[in-house]
Amino acid sequence: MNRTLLLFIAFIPLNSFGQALKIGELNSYKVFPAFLEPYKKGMELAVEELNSASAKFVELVVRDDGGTPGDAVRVAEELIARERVNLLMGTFASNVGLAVSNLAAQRKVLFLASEPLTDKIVWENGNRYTFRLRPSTYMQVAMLVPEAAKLKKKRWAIVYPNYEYGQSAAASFKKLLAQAQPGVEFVGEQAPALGKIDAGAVVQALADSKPDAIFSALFAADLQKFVREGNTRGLFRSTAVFNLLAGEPEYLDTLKDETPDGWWVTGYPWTEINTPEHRRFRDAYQKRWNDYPRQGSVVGYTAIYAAAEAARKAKSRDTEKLVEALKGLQMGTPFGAIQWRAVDHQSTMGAYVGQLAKKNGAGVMVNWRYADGAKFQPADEEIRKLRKE
Amino acid sequence: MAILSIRALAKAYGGVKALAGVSFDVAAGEIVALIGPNGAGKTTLFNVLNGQLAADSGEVLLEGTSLVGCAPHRVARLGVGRTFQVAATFGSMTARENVQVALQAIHERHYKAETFLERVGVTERADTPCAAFAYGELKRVELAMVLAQRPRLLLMDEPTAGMAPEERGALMTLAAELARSENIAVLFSEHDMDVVFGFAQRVVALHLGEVIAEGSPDEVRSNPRLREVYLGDA
Amino acid sequence: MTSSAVLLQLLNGLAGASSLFLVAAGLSLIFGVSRIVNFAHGSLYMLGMYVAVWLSGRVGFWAAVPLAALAVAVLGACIEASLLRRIYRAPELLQLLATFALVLLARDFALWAWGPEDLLGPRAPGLAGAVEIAGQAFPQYDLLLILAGPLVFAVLHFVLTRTRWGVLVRAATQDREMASALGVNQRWLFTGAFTLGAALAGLGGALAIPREPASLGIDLALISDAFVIVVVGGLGSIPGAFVAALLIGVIKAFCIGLGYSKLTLVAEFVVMAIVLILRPWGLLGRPQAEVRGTWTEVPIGRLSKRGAIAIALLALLLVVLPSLPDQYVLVLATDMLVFALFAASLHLLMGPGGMASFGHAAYFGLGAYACALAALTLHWSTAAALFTGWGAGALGAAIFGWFCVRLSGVYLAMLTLAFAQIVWSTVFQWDAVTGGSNGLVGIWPEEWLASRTAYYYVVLMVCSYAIFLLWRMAHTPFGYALRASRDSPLRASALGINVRAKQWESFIIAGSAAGVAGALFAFSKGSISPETLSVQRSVDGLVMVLLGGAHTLTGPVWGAAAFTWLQDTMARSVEYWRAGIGAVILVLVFARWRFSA
Repeated sequence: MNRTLLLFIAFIPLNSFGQALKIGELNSYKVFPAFLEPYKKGMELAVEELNSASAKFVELVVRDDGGTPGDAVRVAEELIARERVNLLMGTFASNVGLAVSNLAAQRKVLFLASEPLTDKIVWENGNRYTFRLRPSTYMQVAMLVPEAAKLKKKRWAIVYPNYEYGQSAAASFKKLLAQAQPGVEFVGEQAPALGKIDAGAVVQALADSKPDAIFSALFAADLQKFVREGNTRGLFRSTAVFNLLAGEPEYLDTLKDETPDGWWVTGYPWTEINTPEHRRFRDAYQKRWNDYPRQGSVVGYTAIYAAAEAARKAKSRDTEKLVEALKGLQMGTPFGAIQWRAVDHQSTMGAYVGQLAKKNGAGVMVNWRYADGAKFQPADEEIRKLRKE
Repeated sequence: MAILSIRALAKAYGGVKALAGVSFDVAAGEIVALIGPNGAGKTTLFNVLNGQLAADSGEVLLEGTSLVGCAPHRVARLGVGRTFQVAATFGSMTARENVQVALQAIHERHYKAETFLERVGVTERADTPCAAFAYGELKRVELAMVLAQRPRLLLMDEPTAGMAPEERGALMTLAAELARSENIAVLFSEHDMDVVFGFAQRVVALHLGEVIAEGSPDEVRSNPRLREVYLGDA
Repeated sequence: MTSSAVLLQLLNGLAGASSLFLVAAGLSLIFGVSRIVNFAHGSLYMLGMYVAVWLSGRVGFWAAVPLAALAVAVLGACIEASLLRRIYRAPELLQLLATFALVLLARDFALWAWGPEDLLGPRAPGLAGAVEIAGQAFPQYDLLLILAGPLVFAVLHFVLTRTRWGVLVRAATQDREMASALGVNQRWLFTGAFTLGAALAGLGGALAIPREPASLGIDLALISDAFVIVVVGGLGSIPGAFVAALLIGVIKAFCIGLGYSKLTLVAEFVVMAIVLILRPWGLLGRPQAEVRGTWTEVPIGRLSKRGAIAIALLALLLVVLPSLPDQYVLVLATDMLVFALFAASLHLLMGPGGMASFGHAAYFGLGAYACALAALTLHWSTAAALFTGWGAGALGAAIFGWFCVRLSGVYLAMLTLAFAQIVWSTVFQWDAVTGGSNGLVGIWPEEWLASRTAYYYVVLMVCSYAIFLLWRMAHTPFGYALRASRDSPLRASALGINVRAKQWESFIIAGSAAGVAGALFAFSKGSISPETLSVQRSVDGLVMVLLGGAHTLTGPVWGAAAFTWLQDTMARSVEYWRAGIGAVILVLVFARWRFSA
């Protein structure tokens, strides 16, 4: 029996604190529902598992943050001041995540940023009270780069949504690929506005730059439009494509029979991961919700467990003790064991890297492998410099 | 002495000449009527005089100062008051406030709004919003505002249009008295010939943008050119 | 770019222009006849998409397209007959508010009916592939779209010039009163125009599904595009909308083709600003005939004795608020005060100034960013940073206002929007200074002001003093001159008031007050991002002012407080809170209109 399962079992005698751990969760449920509804289900599953019939170990208070930093800060204040939660959790968009992280530092409250991908939340704007679960933009890019370098393609074009996530994905990719494969050329760059890609014109412009390969950070509706136009116009026939996040069921499932073959992506091949810890999670999730888990489900589920683990280790509800407990905390997740790095408060949760394929008119990931987040990090020294510590 | 001197004033819309070289003077204390059929160029002339429209050529002098190229508010501050064909007042304000705005616009602190409302006879309704006024009263309020400007030249574009016949005489009597007592030059356009011949000291007749007759009411009345235009006499 | 690339990008631009034209034509038609700026037009397009995707799974794509257009047309007719018909005589801005409520309702309806995920429609059967043009593959379906725009244009042109109904529509567009004097049955005319406009929006949405997934955010994205096209083309002018759609579609395609894809964020607004500055009535528009006698401004009363007592009591309550055990009340009250000042500053323009601003967030955001930069990079004191925000708001308003006061009505409003969007996209992309899409973090007041209570008192003092000054302004000579300029610009200038100068001054004052609100906002949140000056914030401001009543002095302040509170409570306790807010707004609009009519 592996350690993960042991950890789950270890929760049983945890109700000795009397009072439940109160988690204040805020997220942009109305703005990014496709990702966040499964996320919420994942959280609720974890809460139900942790709370036995007789005793309540965690109490979850969920709020919609309105999708803007200004509203999110107010909602977070409500959770802190009125609900008196023990820690904050959640947020999706980078700007909202950063705003709440900044408030957490000011009010000295633990903030477990589950979703936001921005590197800054643990680097430039990192602070004592903020921890982040998901693999960052940098990490996910770094996971794809070795595969990209293997292909030895010379001419690369880049397309990304024009906001921080896309910009930093593009910048990291250019930097890391140039290191891995000296002499690579970047021949075209397209940065359409998020959610408003003019796919026909973008595909045409990419084709005109005659690339050997394309790196894309598009997702959601932009990705769908890009794929369909690219298929129609034959853009992908002779070009290799690397696309962050496109293997996540949230985005992959919408592509259906348009799913392009052979793209390298990061994602979550939920049907095929058969480790005991994942099988257990998947079965429980399907049983509870009569639906299959998405990437968001895993994130929500794991975030709740992370908070609970920290409380267990700290044996306290006190913020400072929780912070210390999270530093270096090791825990099990559906993806396997992870650690919360003390150096930058980033968890080592990884992602699955693989290729897209079509199967029965739907997209799946093949040739996949798990990329452990611990292996795709810059040197500690570099991080300390960024964190100005 | 001439308060207003107009010299060879011309204005065309596309190819249509609305004013084709108009020249005449108005002296202090004098009441001059501007007559002519519709489309003769009366309103265009008023709009050029108060700066709403730019003339193509010609000169407008107010006591020797050129008004050409001045914006309406500049013209107003130089001493030209104007009433509109459809009385223009500030509907969201009371009669008193309307007059106060006029006083404030020229930074007048000496006079009170009541003075002017009294002169036009709307004191008892001074605190009623203008939106609730009957049209005849509105014309009086407008006149009070213009008087509060203390103009040297008063332009009245069809002052009695839209008024009941019995009100017309009263309004014009009022205007004439004020012109005389304040020594204001008055230029008004009018269709009602009873008003014109009852109140004007001099008449200028416009037709197709040109002055076709000018003189005392009697002289103009008997002018053959004018009879031709108005009555179609051959 | 090679010549084949130029040709293909031109075709891409034309294909994109077609569906935009359909939406813009409908919007223009509705505006022309009823003078209603239909904010919900993007929602009709969105519903057209969803219905078409849903139907194409049942009856096939080609049958789904006309059926979806028909369904949206029927919905449009119902909306017109049951809601809008009642408020044609209401002030323009109240109508705008009602259509905005419809946006909220439609969005949550779609969420409820079709769920949160984006739905991409099927490829069009028979036109699924590509044809070769100049050596490159070009989608067959896009060729159909390229033809659809001119085709619909031709049909509309025929209907408007050759049928009796069309002639009446054009008559009403040029002069509504004249048309009604000629014995036109307005009711039938308005319902007809709205139905046709809705059908066009539905058709545009349905035709888009093979290229674009139906998604919940498409409504507002589309309505701003459509507004821009209608305004650039000239309000009420269908040919104008056609030309503008082509112009903007092609310009965007070439931005992408030439490698300046980041410019697409702002290209249309730059085009709109340039067009409005050079041609104040759009490319093919005409100066609007003034609508007479539908609504007269009512006087702004002085504070009654009862009102003064209520305000004094409220002030007392606000002063003792920090003694409540619930600290969150202070956070919420801080937001309410900041937005009350924001709304009061917007009200100066909209009420006494008579100028609707769709881009008031620009000054709020400029204030917030200037304040944040002063505190973060220059390390100025909190007070100095707040003053910087004040100055930045004033400066921004001075520059933009100078151009805006040369226009009037909807054109003025759209130019304010264009400027706000230009500022927004600059802030969004200027990473080095503004922090780009992430914004700036770590903007906290000095230590001794940093607690919730201390900062609350700062906000209370600054906001109540500024609001007091704005209120008092209505009865100063400046306020009178401003209202005079609104009531009758002709009369005001004939009295010696420099109308544009007064309006420009009001812009500067309003901008500086909004700048202060933005600066206070930045310090209360500790961080700011481009959403501080997004369209959404401008729209929120409009809703606050209209909710409280643009024609009252104190109304906008109550409106801001109520809106902020409503949003806070609704978001917490009601799942479909957007629809909830929409419903509340609709009820208030009708109550207000019935009450005042």
